[in-house]
Amino acid sequence: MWQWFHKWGSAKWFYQASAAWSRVFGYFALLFLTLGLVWGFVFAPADYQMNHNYRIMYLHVPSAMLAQITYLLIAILGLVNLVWKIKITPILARAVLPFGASCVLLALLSGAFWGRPTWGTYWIWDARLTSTLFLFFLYMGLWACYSLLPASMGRNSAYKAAAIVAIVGSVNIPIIKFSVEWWNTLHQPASIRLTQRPAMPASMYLPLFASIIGFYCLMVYLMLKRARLLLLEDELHKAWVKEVEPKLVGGS
Amino acid sequence: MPFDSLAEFWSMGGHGFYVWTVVLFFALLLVLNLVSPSFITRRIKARLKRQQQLQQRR
Repeated sequence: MWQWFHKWGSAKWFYQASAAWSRVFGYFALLFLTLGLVWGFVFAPADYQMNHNYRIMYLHVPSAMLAQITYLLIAILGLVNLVWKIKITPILARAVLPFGASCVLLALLSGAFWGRPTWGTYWIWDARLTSTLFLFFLYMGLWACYSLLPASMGRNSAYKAAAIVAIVGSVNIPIIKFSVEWWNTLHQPASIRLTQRPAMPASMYLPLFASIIGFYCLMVYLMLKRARLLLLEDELHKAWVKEVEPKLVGGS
Repeated sequence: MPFDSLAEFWSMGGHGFYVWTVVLFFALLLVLNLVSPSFITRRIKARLKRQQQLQQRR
């Protein structure tokens, strides 16, 4: 157990091990996204009420889910950083941030373009939509913390401040999740749940599951890919960087 | 198959504008996410170069 902990504290170990993981997740992301999206957009049957327009679901549901999961991940990584001070955690949080922010944007835009033909409006200030917009602002705030604070207050303090912002902001996640049940919203409640059978046929939800798995793999792939480079940047003058990337640092 | 022809596929039952805008936006964000790590590499290289120049001047 402690040895495992110790490993995660080692930047060199992470840098070397994550190269293979990121590649594996990259291939899985390609596989599942292609499967889910081609199946969903080309082969899945049309909906009897929404016609072909419901196909936006294959991008809307995964992106909205991953926007929230990514935020929770950033908050948990922040908590781990505050309690155990594992060096790699704030870097992983920074690395996954752009993906999370992209997911909120996609969820909001795909929601708008699904809402226009179905509800008759691009935007409405209802609980689900407003709390999701708030999630986008939280991502922007975190982004500012991670990219602007280090210059003025030092990297470690900045990472701690960002962790606190992330943890406090995570209160918004259950609000998004339960908004469709607590308030009367235009947004429908969830059609797929862990505990119940989905409210649609297998020919519609199987491609959706493939797309969701693809989004998860894409998150891990992009997180590891960025984290390795951010780690390199943070530790550019440590001995291990010269050891593993002699070509990059060798010249200086 | 829910579509009989390619034209039907593009029109998405009259909802083509909404469906394809979302797909296009997804593709745009995906490309941006895939390309942006190279910005970090470029930043690192620029920093190393700057430091090298400083050292040579000394």
